[in-house]
Amino acid sequence: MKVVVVDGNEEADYIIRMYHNRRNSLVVINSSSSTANELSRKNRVDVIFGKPTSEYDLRLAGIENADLFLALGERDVDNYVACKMAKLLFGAKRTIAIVKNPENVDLFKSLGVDSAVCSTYLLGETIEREASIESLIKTLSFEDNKITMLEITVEKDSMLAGVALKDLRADIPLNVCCIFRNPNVLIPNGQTVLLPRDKVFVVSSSEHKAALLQFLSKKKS
Amino acid sequence: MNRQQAVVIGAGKLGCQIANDLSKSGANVTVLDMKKEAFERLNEFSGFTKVGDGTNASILRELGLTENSTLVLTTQEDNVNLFIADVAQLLFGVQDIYVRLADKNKTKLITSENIHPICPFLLSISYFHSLREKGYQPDESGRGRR
Repeated sequence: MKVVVVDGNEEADYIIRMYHNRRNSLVVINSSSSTANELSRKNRVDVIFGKPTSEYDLRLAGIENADLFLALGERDVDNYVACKMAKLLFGAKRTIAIVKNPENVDLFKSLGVDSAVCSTYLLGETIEREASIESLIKTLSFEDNKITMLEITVEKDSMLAGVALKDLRADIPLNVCCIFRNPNVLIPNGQTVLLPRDKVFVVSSSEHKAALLQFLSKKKS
Repeated sequence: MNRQQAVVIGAGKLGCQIANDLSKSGANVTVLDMKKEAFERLNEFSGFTKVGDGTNASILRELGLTENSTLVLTTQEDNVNLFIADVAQLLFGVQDIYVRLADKNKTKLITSENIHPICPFLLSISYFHSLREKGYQPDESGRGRR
């Protein structure tokens, strides 16, 4: 596969490593001479010092008929024009641009860039995913979402650690129905003591889900 | 009767002169630039000025562009001018767009008949040839005479 990478620092470095190893034909262009040298030295590839939106520079670099053209520059408009030029004048089959402004993701696609990736947008999504406690705890629901089953791992500093089930004081109805203590599966009774690293499966009614999550994630004070 | 609406983005020497001319001819003109100081060149001008980044679609939306507008793109950067032209045509259906391009090769990126490139380089070349055709010769002191 012929891959063209224009501009970008760390992003370019990452992509170069990704495609260089897989024995593709790689063309790298960078408009900063210091970045061009650095990328070339680190990855042992030829990096052409040139402007990604100069037809002359792109022709000199030999980007014709690329299967994939990646514009990783700092500015959205430059990436847009680079992709348009690659497609229109050099027959790139697929163009991908990095964008800063999340609004440009859809706009670029409507304007003929095959794909636009916005790091701000992705960052937001990732943070949302990582920060949500519900994703750290696996949940399952049954019977039209009336019954909830939760899986939680007991941390060392959790309120649950070292507590026998009969002593578990919760204001909500719950039942610890199963414990996975590697490699054993235990069906617990009142005497069973919860240990750090136990995976505990708890069943309750879905209306208590939020309170249950709060109760199970309490730390020792 | 509605006055012709025109928007000029990039208030440099060329942009301001075009804005002045359009305003004098009776058009309803809005000029957009990133810097407030840029508007100092506007005289004989009775339109609106606005500070903002024209590559931001939300800013463009505030300019009230329609299919009947005239849009003149004269920022310092070809890529900015090209991008705004494509966006304005896509989002607002503007059919009368003028784009200043310093790099003559970038005129190849204009694929719509609604977008007209203005390339100083090509204009100079064609002016040169028209002068030559008229039999213009440099005077006695002129070098390069064949």
